[in-house]
Parts: sequence; C-alpha cells; structure tokens
Amino acid sequence: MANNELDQKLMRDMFNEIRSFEIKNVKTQKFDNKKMVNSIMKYIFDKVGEEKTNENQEY
Amino acid sequence: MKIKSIKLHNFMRYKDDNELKFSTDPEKNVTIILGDNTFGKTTLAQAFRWGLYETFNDTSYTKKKDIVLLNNEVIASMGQTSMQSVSVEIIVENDQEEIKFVRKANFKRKTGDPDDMTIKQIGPTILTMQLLESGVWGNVISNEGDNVEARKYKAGCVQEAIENMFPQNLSNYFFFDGERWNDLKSKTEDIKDSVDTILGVSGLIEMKKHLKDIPRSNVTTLLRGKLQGTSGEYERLRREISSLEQQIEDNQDELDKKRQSIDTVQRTIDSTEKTLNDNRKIEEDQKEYKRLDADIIQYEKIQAEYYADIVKKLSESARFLAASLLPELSDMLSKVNLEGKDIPGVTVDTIDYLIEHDECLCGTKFTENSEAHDFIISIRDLVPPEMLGGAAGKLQSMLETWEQDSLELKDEIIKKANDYEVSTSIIDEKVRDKNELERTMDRKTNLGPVRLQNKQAKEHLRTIQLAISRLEIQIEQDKNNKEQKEIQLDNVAKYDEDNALVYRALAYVEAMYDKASVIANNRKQTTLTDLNRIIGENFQRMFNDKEKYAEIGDDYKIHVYYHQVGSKTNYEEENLSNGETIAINFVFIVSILELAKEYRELEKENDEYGMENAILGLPLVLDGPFSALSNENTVLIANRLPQFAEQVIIFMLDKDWEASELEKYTLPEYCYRVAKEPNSNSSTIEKN
Repeated sequence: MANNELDQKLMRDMFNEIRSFEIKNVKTQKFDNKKMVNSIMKYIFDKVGEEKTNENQEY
Repeated sequence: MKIKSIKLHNFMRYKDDNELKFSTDPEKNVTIILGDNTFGKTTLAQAFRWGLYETFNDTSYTKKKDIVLLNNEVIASMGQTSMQSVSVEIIVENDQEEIKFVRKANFKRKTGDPDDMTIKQIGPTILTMQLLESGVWGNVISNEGDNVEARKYKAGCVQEAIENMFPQNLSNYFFFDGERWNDLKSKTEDIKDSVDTILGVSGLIEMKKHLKDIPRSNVTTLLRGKLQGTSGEYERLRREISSLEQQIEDNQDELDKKRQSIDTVQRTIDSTEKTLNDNRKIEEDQKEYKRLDADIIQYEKIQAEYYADIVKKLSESARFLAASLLPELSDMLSKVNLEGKDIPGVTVDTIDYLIEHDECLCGTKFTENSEAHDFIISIRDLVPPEMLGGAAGKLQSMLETWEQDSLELKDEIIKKANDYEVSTSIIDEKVRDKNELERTMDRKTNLGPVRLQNKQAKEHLRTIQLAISRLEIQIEQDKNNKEQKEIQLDNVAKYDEDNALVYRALAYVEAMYDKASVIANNRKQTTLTDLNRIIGENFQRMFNDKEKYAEIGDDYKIHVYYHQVGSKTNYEEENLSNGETIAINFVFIVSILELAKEYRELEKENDEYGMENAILGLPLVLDGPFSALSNENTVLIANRLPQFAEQVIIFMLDKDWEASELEKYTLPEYCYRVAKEPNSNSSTIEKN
C-alpha cells in the first residue's frame, strides 16, 4: 500500500474467487443481488484489510 | 459431469425396481434405450425430470395434472390401508466425486372402493443425497436440512447441489426434446441467457452488475458510503450524489419496466398480426360483403331515380294523350272540308271595315243594294271568326307538333325504362353475389377490434421505444454527472487512513470490473461469430445442402436462408418441415456444445484468468430424437453428438438405431430395450 500499484496476484485471486461465486449463483439462484453485493463488498474489504495488515507487519 | 445410473421404483409404467447404468466411457459415451412407441421410453425421460426437479414435460398425450406417479398394477394390488412408494434414484459422477440423489413419494388409495383407482400422496416428497467416500456410500443428507457428523446442512441443500450440476433453466438443452423445442416459446433473452451460461459469460455479467452496474446498491456505492468527510462541501456533494443515484435507480427501474413491456406489446402485435393473417380471407370476404351491400343500396337509389323520371315524364303526357286524338280530329276536319275556302288574311273585321268605308281596296264602291255590296256581305260569313277553317288548320298543325313531341317523349321513356332494367339486373347480380358470400363467409368473426388492437399496440410500441431512448439518455447524463461529482468528492475527502483503505478497495473493484468487462466483451463479441461459424459447418454436414445456409440471428434463433432465389439473395426459408425443424434444433444444440468444448480449451490454456468450470460440460439426454428425420440426416446428426456432449443417452426406435450408425460409439453392455408383456400395462428394462 506504500505505492498505489495494485497487487496483481491479489487482484487475480479476488477476481477468480468472485467469478467462481457468481457462476455458482447463476446456476443455483441462491442469493439475491443485495446479498451478493454485501458478500462481495465484505470479501473485498476484508482482503484489502489483510493486505494492509500484512504490509504493516513487513514494516 | 456424467450420469452413472438411474433406478426407478414403481415409477409410472415401471413396476418394482428397474435400473439403467449409463456409459461414462470417454470415447464410447453413448447409451441406447430401444423400444417401440408407447412402451415407455418417454416415461424414462420423465423420470430424469422428476428425479432432479420434481417436474414433468407436457407430452402430446399427457398433461402434468393427469400424471399418476405410482404404477397402475401396484395401485390395483393395494389394500385400502397399505402404502406404496415411488422413487427415482440418480447417481452422478462429478470431478471424481459420486453423488446419489433419491426422490421419493408415498401413496395410499383415496377410497375403499376397489374399482376406484385414485390415490393420494401421503406426506411431502422426500429428497436426499449421499456421497460415495472410499467406495462406501456416506450418510444420508436430507433436503430439509441435517446435522451430519458435526456438519450442518441447511434446508434446500440437496436441490442446490442438483442445481449446481444440472441448472434447471438449462434443462431444455440437456434433456433435449427436438420435437417440442419450438413449442417452448423461449424468449430471445432466455435463450441468450442460457447460451451465455453454458459458454461462461453469465458469471462475468453478474459480477459486473454487482461490482458497479446495479443502480445505487452495488459494491462501489457501498464502499463509497464508507468514506468519511467533515466539510460542508463534502456533505453537499454526498447529498447530490445520493440524489443522482436515486434518480438513476428510479429511471433504471422505469427503463426495465419499459423494456419488459416491449415484450408484452410485441407479443400483442405478433398475435394480432397472426390473427389478421390467418383470417385474411374472412376479412376480405367481410369487406366484399360490405362493398356489395353498399353497391346494392347505391343501385337501388339510381333505379328509384329512373323510376321517378319515368313517372315524371308520364305526368307530362297530356300532349301524348292529345296526340292520340290526332287521327280522329284529322278525320273530322277533313269531313268539314273548309280548307281553302277562307280568304287568307281576311277576317270579319276586315269585311266590316270595308263596308263601313263603302270602298274595296281595289277601288270598287259598295253602294247599298249593289252587286259588290251583296257579294261582300255574303262572304262575311265565310271568314274567321265567323268561319273555323283557318283555326282547324292551326289545330291540326299543333296536333302534329304534339305527335312529334309525344314520339320524343316515348323514346325518352323507353330509354329510362332500359336504364331501369339495366340497374335491376345489376342489383340482381349483386344480390346473388351477396347471398352466395353470405352462405360461405364467416360473418361472426369480427376482426375490426383485432385490427384496432394491432394498430394501438404498434403506436404503444413506438411510444415505449421513444420513452426508452429518453430514459437511456437521461441515465447516461446522470451517470456522467455522478462521476464528476464523485471526482469532486474525492478531492475534498479527508485522506485519513480509513478512507485510504476504502479507496484501495475501490481501485481493486474498478480493476476487476474492467477485467470482467474485457473478458465478457471479448467472449460476447466472438460468441455469435464463433457460433455462426460452427452452425454453418454443422448445417452443411447435417443437411448436405449447398443451396441453403443457416445462421443464428440477433434473436438467438437459427434461421435458414437460400443463397439465391431468382434475383433475390439470402432469401429466408420460413416454411421448414417438421423434420427440418428438428434437424435445425440439433444443429443449434450440437453447435453450442461444440463451442463450449472450444471455449473450455481456451479457459484451460489461460493460466491467470482461465476458469474451466465456467463452461458447462453437460450430458445429453434425448427422447425419440430421430423419428421425424430422414436416414441421411439421422446418421449425420447422430455422429456429431458423441463428439461434443460429455455423454449421450438416447431413447429411440429400432429403425432409428440402425439408421443412426451409433454402434461405433456404444459399448454392448450399454444398449437396453424397453419391453412389455402383451397382457401387461407395465414395462421393464432389459439388456438388449
């Protein structure tokens, strides 16, 4: 987070995880939009929080 | 994903247990179930639907409400209190995992009357699954939710597992019934969504929706909601952005409603146009009937005018009548024989004048008692008005004029009478036509309201399209405006640590959104082109027809065109035979499966963003697919199926089996026959 460059691996991991989650939900229609949006937002926010924690530990 | 087996217990035609094991061999992946018509092949196809979704396909001979699940012979053998069950067990192989799904329902007789075969279900239908672990079936997990070995399964978990493997909204593709494919009346959007799902685009579209595209409540707006600011400017911008978001959401809702209403209006236009086209003859007859009616009224009016003219002419017939007296008058006048005895131009007054002046014009004196005086006195009685000779001549002359007039009058009356006759025959002819039409035409069907409805629907469609354009422009403007305000907001936001985290998350969201857009757009751009390439090839292979070609349109349906008809090029063939329609449906499904295979390879090759399971690998269960196809088409189609479907299960007639040449894709142990004893209602499955 020291620079504004995005971590490409984290980006890819998150992208593939969310896509996989979406593919599953397309088939099952288990979650509505609201639930999907909340889950994805929480997932991304947590991941970015982890990124920050890891970065702080490195320093 | 492959289906390993299906086991039926007392299911409809199949009494007791009947099991089918399917080939999962990668090369020889075809399983054949042969049987005569009405022996129960379609029942087996129905067992898949019931086992997986607890639903049925309507067939030509059965409606869902009429279906009795429990075998008839079993019902007949049941006592009033005994209970019998129906179950379907399906074992599926998915990524080296085996899962057994069982759906079961219990039944009792409704009444104690032995002749009354009606039954009632006892309790709900039960759905369970078991996983095969180290060659042993694990615990039974119920769809109602279970706690199994410290693991909690929620309600609906078994159905969800089925949906994961065999999405019901795609079931028309893998439980393929070519004959009824066209009856499904799928909307373009539904077909497109299904194709997108099979080819792995739907997940990306959903991802974009959730990250950014859904108005107001998307990941981006929720994250932005976490931003904190203190200045008045910051709060003002937040309020304005929120208001714009609300506006975009409202307009988007309105836009969605308008787009949905297009479908309804379009259906009205289609159905009214179909009604009008189907009843064009009726409408033309009705128009002709009205025209004849109007003509008859018009000619009757003209005829009445002719009649009135004749009466009028006759009313002027005094001279006509007087003229008829002419011969008698002439006769009478000739008898009087005074003609020529009067002195032309001399009247009694002339004589009296001459006597009064005692002198003739020639100078002779009329002295009293002279010869000249006596003579002029004697002729005084022979000139008018004392004598009628000149008047009679005038009368005769007048009568002759009247005779001429009466001849002209007669001609005019004859002409009018002729016109009257002509109009009478025209009226008679039109009345005959009208009566004939009245006898044959449909007078009850009133297409006026249909035409009006069609016209109104077209006007409505134009209004909706206009409103959609306006809303799209408005939404675009609001989105741009919102983006501008968000940039302003970012500039005034306090860059504390919490906000930095939000901005970081937003940057990832933006990057993922862009990535999803790129992959989805590439896939969407190429899907139609790729699909059309494969459809073109398969059409040629399966039809072997050089004059025609097939293409998928924007409506995601296959259209067949002639390269050239007369001077017209790319002329669409709209009257496909039943066999051609089924074959075209096969071209469609085989091409989708073939493209799915291509895309799966592409996903495999992409180390970073490839997702092989995004592309569905589906088995293909076909019920009587070849019955309406020619032998040539059957062999061409049948040989493509095993190459692109994960697995093929076909219920077919013996004659089609020989024609299909599928033997080379079929292991002998996976060829079955549906058998039926002549005196039994139940069927059994036997190895062929």
